[in-house]
Amino acid sequence: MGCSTVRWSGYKMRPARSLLLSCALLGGGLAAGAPTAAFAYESVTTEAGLTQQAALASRLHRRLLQRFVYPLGLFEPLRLDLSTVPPARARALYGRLVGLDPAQGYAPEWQAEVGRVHPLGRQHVLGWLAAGTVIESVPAERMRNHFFDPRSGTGLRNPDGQSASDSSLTAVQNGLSSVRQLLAGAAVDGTGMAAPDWVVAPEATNEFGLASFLRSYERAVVAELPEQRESALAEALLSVGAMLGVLEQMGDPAYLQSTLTAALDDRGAAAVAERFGRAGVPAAASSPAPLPGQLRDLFSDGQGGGLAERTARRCTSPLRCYTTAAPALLAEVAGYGQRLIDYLFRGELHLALAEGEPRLDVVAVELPLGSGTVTLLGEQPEGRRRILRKVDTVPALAGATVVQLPISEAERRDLHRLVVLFHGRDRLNQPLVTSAQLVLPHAAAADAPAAPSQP
Amino acid sequence: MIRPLFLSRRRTQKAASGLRFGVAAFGVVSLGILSLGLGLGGSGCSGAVAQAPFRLRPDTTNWGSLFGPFDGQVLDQATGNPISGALVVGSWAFEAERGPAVPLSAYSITAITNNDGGYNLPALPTTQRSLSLLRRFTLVVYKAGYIGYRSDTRWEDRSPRTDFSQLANKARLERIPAGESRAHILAFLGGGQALMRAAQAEVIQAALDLAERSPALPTLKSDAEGSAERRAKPDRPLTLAEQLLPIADVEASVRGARRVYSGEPLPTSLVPATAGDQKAAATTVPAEDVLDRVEYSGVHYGAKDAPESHDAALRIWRAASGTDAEAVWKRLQGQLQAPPLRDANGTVVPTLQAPAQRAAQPLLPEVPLNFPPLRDANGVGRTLLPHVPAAAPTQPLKPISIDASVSAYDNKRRTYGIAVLVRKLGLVVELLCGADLCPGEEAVHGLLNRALERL
Repeated sequence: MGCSTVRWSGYKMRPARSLLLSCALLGGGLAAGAPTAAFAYESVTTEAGLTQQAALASRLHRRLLQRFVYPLGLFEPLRLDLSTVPPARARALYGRLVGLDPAQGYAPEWQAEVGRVHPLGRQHVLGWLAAGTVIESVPAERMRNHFFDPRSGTGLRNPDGQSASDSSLTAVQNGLSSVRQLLAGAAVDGTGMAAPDWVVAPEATNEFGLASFLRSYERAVVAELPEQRESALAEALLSVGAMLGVLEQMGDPAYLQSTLTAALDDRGAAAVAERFGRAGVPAAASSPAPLPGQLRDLFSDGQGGGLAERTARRCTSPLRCYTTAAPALLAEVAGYGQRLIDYLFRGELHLALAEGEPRLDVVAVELPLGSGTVTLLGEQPEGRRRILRKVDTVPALAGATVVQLPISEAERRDLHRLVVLFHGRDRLNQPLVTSAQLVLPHAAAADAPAAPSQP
Repeated sequence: MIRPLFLSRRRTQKAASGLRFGVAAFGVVSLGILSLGLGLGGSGCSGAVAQAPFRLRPDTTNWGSLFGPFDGQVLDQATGNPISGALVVGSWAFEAERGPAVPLSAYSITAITNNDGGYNLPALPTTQRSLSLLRRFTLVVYKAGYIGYRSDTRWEDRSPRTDFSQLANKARLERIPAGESRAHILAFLGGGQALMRAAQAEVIQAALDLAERSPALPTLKSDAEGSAERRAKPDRPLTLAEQLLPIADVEASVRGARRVYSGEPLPTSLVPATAGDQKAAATTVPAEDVLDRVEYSGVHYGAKDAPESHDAALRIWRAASGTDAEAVWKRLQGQLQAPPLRDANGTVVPTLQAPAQRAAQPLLPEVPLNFPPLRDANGVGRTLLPHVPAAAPTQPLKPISIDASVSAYDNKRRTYGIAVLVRKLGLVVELLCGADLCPGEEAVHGLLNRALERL
């Protein structure tokens, strides 16, 4: 191939441009050959489409209506205000989001305002989810943590006989790392965290994992102003999308082998991208399976029910999984994505004011809950919230009362609604955050029928 | 030369990287930079360009250019008439030149079709071209009431579109058929916020569609709903004990926090008679226990996540005659563990007052005072209980009378117990109720009376 023609994901690059690219690589002394065809399921097409199908099949739409009172649900436009997040994270987020393709339905619309460092990003819930999936692979070295071998439970590792420096050079050659990272010793060295571990890693390690979701969700409920809550929910959705991106990669057999070599020549994934793009990804397979006991079970549950295990079992001939069996496989992957969304937003609560008593009953409707903390907030008519109570709770079975919170008539007189956040564990000791809200009777009576907000 | 500052910075970075690899590479780097400069000078400021996946015109085999310009006409699929006022969104996406598909930047432009349905999109402005790979151009067309159009994917079968052309394109839109999911159409189209704004009506319709189609959230059922459902869809025939004391009666007795109960069969508390007991009875009946001639039914309603003092249980022994019922009653009295309840003066608490009237459709028929046990050819006795009449009696039945009753309180288990004998129906009924569910004798009597009213 050399400097004449370079194939890139199935497209022929123009010789004049590819010449520049190849020669620049040669100038770096690293261009040993042509760039590879593809690298995993494409986040910008295949994975984004899988995420959208997963969300459409999930209960998220209803939960957004019920918990956050967003009448448009998955199509509710949310604004991400980067001034509410730490500057370094804001810069990183903006840098990743600003380059997204509007035609795919996940690029925020940026609204510049005087005095703001970063413009406000605005798009609907479905778009934020897909955007999270795409930026999970930005920068590319994050993908080192997307590998998982269900047989050994390990992530990316160097095979026998291959050193870390060999892997680093390979990573630079293939665009996984930059020359600068190589020189700084920060290039991908052929090792990485196993995908399930990456998803639940602390926020200092993975800024778009479970920890980030839990924190953002909590802020989406307890933040004082509506715009702060809206922005936090957008952040939470980005994290959900990112976790979906990692899970969806388990549908690609090349990522179940724990070595970089297999993934570097993932032509099958390129074929899938060309065949389905984003918009052609099949709808999620209806999944009668219950919610997993823990998030890791969606990857591998030790019984063969995890996505990685299923893919490894059914894709003994990977080529088939990228071609004739691809529609069924993608539908199944989207089904796992749907279960992940439902798992993250599980734990529906029911709020009821006790008749004739100054008390709010919080009932666990959907699942047994473990111990945790219940925060009761009061929301004023203009949307400003304040914390009224914060109590520790003991485990409660599904259908049982989690806690009874005293709330006097005087306290709720100037409030429009009561909001409850549960932050704790489920009965399997897995982290759980959920919320519910209740419009107070006097406010409900005074309310005129609300029109859906405009996108 | 466009954006000289940017170019010179990139050039410097590449040169610096190359120089770190030694003097030998210097010449190659210089060549690369020179080529870069020449290339950019020749075709504007741009990097590599992927091969366009579409033709220049419908009637040629020449490939088109991702840069554009683009023009065409939007038509109604059914009539062939031009569609004016349709929104056309063109979007260019730039990605990293090597490695995974990492989005770097994007640019989009919109147009509205004229009276002839025609649209014109100019070529990608040179100010928007970058040194990264121009990976794709996507055209999206939207018109209210129509399924939109994407240049990369067909809606009908979600297959890659092959009939899109850069110039003189014909975009045929199909009207949205009845029952088609607007949410899936919007997700398919993508198109960014410009499209979402134009599709406000579709967005609201999509939200309503999703609210109907997405899986329902678990909810708490009201007492009436819950018991109606249990009555309407029993997974097995209700036992006599469950008919006399439905779970809804127990749940309705709960004061304060709502509790959820589940019912389980309850074994009989009476132990078979010993040989000594039979000798003491000095009957002429062959050695046979009265318990062999009665029908027993029992249910235990356990409160979820609560101690036994919130539970309730009902035991019923039904005999074919009043005499047999009395024998059972004596057995029960003899086996009572707790002493009968007495008031402060040491007097046994008053006998339970029988309900004032019987149910319009009684559950049980009356039995004779004496009814000899039937025997088969082998001389083995068997129970033959009278059937419950299928139709309601034409005349109101007389209220039942309680022939004997006893109340007790188990201090250790904090449980009330009350047993009654109704000879007329051949019945012995025992109700146990935890002190937290039945805080006093009145509550126990009330619960038992509700059961007796159904007799």
